[in-house]
Amino acid sequence: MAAAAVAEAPRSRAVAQPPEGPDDLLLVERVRAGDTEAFGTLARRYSRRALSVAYRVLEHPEDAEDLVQDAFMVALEKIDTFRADRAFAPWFFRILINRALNARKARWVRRTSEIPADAPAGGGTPEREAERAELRERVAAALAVMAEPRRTIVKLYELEGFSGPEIAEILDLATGTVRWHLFHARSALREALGSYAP
Amino acid sequence: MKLPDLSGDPPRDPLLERTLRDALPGAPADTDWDRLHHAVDARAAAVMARRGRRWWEYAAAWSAAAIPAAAAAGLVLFALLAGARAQADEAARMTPAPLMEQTLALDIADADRSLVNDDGGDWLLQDALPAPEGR
Repeated sequence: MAAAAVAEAPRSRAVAQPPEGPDDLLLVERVRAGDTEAFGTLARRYSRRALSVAYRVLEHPEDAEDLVQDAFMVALEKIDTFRADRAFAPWFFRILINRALNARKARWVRRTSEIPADAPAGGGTPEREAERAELRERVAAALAVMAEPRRTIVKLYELEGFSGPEIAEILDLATGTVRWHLFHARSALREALGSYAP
Repeated sequence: MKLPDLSGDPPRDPLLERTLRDALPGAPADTDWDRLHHAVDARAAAVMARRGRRWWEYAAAWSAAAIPAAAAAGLVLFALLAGARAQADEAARMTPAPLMEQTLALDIADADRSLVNDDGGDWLLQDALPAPEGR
């Protein structure tokens, strides 16, 4: 199923791909008519990516799960305000990311897990592990000094595979503004990564 | 510094992406998806039950309390109206008696003077009514 592939393949372009099964808009119509199962289908379609995005912002697994649940409930509460001439995914991720950024800003997060320098990264030689640890430190330092929404934009673009227009819709920004932030974020990251990045 | 091209998305950079992915861990792989989905389903069912109710369903839900309350209010209103009507009848019944007593107690001359007195100046009435004896 495409929805599962979306979540399992991080680089896939989920928002642009038509999912298998009932169309999002059809599911939304069924939800509006009171079909709980249709909402379950929507939730399963986007939950993996939602958790990934939430985790990217909050950097805490339990808080990310709570946030995903809350975002789905807010989406359900507001489903009548969703405009059928727009795509469902950017509308939903806008809810999710706004809540994530607010939660992060309000220090709602119980504890922010800094990326540990010794975090396992998939095995390898001790030299490779040491290299990765240094890499994580550099990325964390570069992102730490990066203001919002730039930090979120670069994560959504590079790691979650959203396009510039999708990010613009999610964050309620102009597409040009998103691309401007993306350009500067990439430059900062490349500078920080030095010899690690191309 | 090179200016960004804002007319389109920059080309994907697989090396930068891989480097970032290597450095920034994603969501934990051991997420219990069944638990998460069941939690979403349960909360969604509650929200749907709340938003799915129409006005007549709310009316039906409230009718158990609303009907007795309306009946009680009706009885109270009826009692108040009945009481007010009884008071009005009593007032109407009691009002003429003092007037009658006062009228009967009046001396005819006093009654006459009450219409035409000496300094009233109403000659037509004085001519029309016979002068009381002794005046």
